[in-house]
Amino acid sequence: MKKWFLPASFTLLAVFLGACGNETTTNEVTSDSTTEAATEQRIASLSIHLTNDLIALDIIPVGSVVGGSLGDFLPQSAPYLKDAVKYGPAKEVDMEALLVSKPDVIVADEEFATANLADYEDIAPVQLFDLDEGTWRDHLTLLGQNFNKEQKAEQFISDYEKKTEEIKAKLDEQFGENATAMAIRVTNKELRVFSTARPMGPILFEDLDLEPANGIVELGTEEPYQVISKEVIGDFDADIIFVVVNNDEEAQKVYDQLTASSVWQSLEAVQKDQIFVVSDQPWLDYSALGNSMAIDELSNQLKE
Amino acid sequence: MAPKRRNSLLLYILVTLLLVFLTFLFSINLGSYHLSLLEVANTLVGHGSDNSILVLFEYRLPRILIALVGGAGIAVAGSLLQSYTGNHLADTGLLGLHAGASFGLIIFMSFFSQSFLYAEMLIPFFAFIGGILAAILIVYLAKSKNRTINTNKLILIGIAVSALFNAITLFLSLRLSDETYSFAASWLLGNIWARDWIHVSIILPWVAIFSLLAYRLAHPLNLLQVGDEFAQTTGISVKYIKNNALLLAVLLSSGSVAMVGNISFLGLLAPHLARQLVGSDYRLTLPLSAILGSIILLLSDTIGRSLFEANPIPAGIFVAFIGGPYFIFLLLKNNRSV
Repeated sequence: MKKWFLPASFTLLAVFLGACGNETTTNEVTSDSTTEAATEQRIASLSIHLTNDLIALDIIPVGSVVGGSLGDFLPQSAPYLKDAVKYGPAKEVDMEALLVSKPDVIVADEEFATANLADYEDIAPVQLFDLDEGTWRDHLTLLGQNFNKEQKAEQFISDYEKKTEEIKAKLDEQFGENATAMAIRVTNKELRVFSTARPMGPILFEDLDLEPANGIVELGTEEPYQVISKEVIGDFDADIIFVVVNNDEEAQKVYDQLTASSVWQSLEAVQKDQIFVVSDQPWLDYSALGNSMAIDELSNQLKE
Repeated sequence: MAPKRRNSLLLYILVTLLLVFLTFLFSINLGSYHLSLLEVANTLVGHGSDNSILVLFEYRLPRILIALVGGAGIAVAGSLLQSYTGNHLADTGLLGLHAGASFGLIIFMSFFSQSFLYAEMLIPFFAFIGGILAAILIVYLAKSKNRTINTNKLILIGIAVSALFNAITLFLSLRLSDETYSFAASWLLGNIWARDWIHVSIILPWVAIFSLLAYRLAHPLNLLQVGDEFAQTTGISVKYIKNNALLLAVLLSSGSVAMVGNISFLGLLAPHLARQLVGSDYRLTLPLSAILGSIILLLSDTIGRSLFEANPIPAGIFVAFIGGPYFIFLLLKNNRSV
C-alpha cells in the first residue's frame, strides 16, 4: 500500500515546491471597476435575448453569451458587439470570461441563471428576468427602468408599433384583411410548423394581426413548433406562408427540394406567389432588436 | 522483483508523476482570465488578488482536481474490468456501466437534486445503483451454460445494454424538462459538469478509498492472470476475487463518470499504456493506470476548454478521438495474434 502514498505525497510536494519557487508579490493586477462612471454601468448579459433588448436601448453590454448552436453572437447583434467578451453558451457560462469583462451588474434569464446564481453574485450583482413572462416590450421597459433608458424604451416600442401598422396596411392591401398565415421551418432533419407561441406566433398573429391558418391555434402554446410531413401543409390552407430557411447551404438545399416537390407546387399560396422566405435570424430571436429587424426585413420584401 | 527492475519501475512512476505535475501546471495556467505564471504561483501560496484567487481556487482548481481524480477512477475501473473479463479490450464505457450510471444520475437530477442541502453527496450512490444494475444485467446475460464468460458475447451485450440505458436516460430526460435533457445530452458527450469544491469533496474520498481497496487486490489479480485453476491452487477464492474486482470497477467507474461525464475508452487506454510501460504486474499497472488516466483526462479537458473558448469541446470527445483509433488498433492486433 505504501506505493500509493508515495506518488500522492510526491504530487503534493511538487505542487508546493513549484509554487514556492517564485515568491514575489505583485499588486499591479488587482481588479478595480469602480473607476467607471456611475452612469456608464458595465453590463454583462447572460441571455442573447436580453443582449438584443439592451442593444435596442443603445446599451452595449461589455460581454454576452453566444447563441448555443451558432457558437457566436447572433448576426443581428454581432456588429454592435465587436468589443464585447464572449461568455460561451448560456447553459455553460465561462466564468473566467465573465470575470475578465469586469461587469458592474449582470443581467440574466432566470431559467438558465438560477442554478449558478451564487457564482455570478460573487462577481457582480445579478438582475434576473423571467423571459417566459410578458412580451419583449415588458422586458425592454423593465431594462429601461433599471438602466435609466425609460424614454428610449418607450420610443423604441412606439417606433415599432408605427412600423408594424404600415406593414399591416400593406399586407391587408395585398392579401385582403382576413388573410390567413402560417410559418414553417425547413431543417435538414424535419419540417416544422410554428404554433402561436414564441418566437413566430406573437409577431405574425399579434403584431401583424394576421389570421392563424386552420389548425395553427390548435397546436397550442406549449411548444414553439410541431413537426409535420410536407403532405399536410395544404391542410392548413394558408393564404400566406412564411418559410424560415437557415442561412446555410444545407438548409437552402432542403428548401430547394421542398419547392421542387409537387405537393409544394400544388399549394394555393405558392401558385399565388404568397410565400415569404425569411432567415432564422432575426426572425426567431424573440427580442426587441430581433422583432424590429424582422419587420424591417419584411418591409423590404414587400417593396420588391 | 529484482532490484534493477524495481528501480526502473520507480523511475516510470516518478516520470509519470512529473507529467501529472506538468499537465497540472499547463492546465492551471490556461483560461479566459489571463494570469501570468508568477501570479499563479503567488496565488497558490496565498498572495493573490481577489480575482486571481477566485479564478484559481473557485474555477480552475476544483475542475482540475475533478478531472484528475475522475480520470484515475475510470482508469483503475477499466483495469479491474479487464481482469474480471480476462480480456484486455474491456472498457467500462463500452460495456455499458457508464450508461447504467447515467441512468442513476438522471433519476437523481430529476427527483432528488433539490431535496435537501448537499443532496449532491448522494450522486455517487445513485450512479452506483444504476451502474450495478447494468453490470448484473450484462454479466447475467453474457454467462454461458458452463458459467464462463464469452468475451465477444460480453462486448455485444455491453453495447446492447449501453444502448438500452442511454435510450431510457434520454427518454426520461426528454419527458422531464428541457434542462434535464440538455444536461443528459452534454453528459453523454463526456462533459465535466462538476466544477465545485463540493464535487471534489465527494469524488476524492470515493475514488481514493475504492482505489486503495483495488490495490489490495493487485496480488490475487496477478495470480488470476496465470489462470483461474492456478490461482485456485494457491488458496485464493477466484470467485470472491473476481466479484470484488467487478464490484470495485462499478463503484469506481460510476462514481467517477457521474461527475466527469461519459468518458469512453479511457478505461481501456490508460491500463493499456500502463501495461506497455511496466508489464502486467497489477501492483504497478494499477497505480500507473491511475496516473495515466488522470493525465489523459485533465489534458483532454484543458485542451477542450481553452482551445475553443466560446465553444468548449467536452473532454469525452478528445478522449474518444485518441481512444477510438487505439481500440481499433488493438482489435486488429488481437485478431492477428489469434
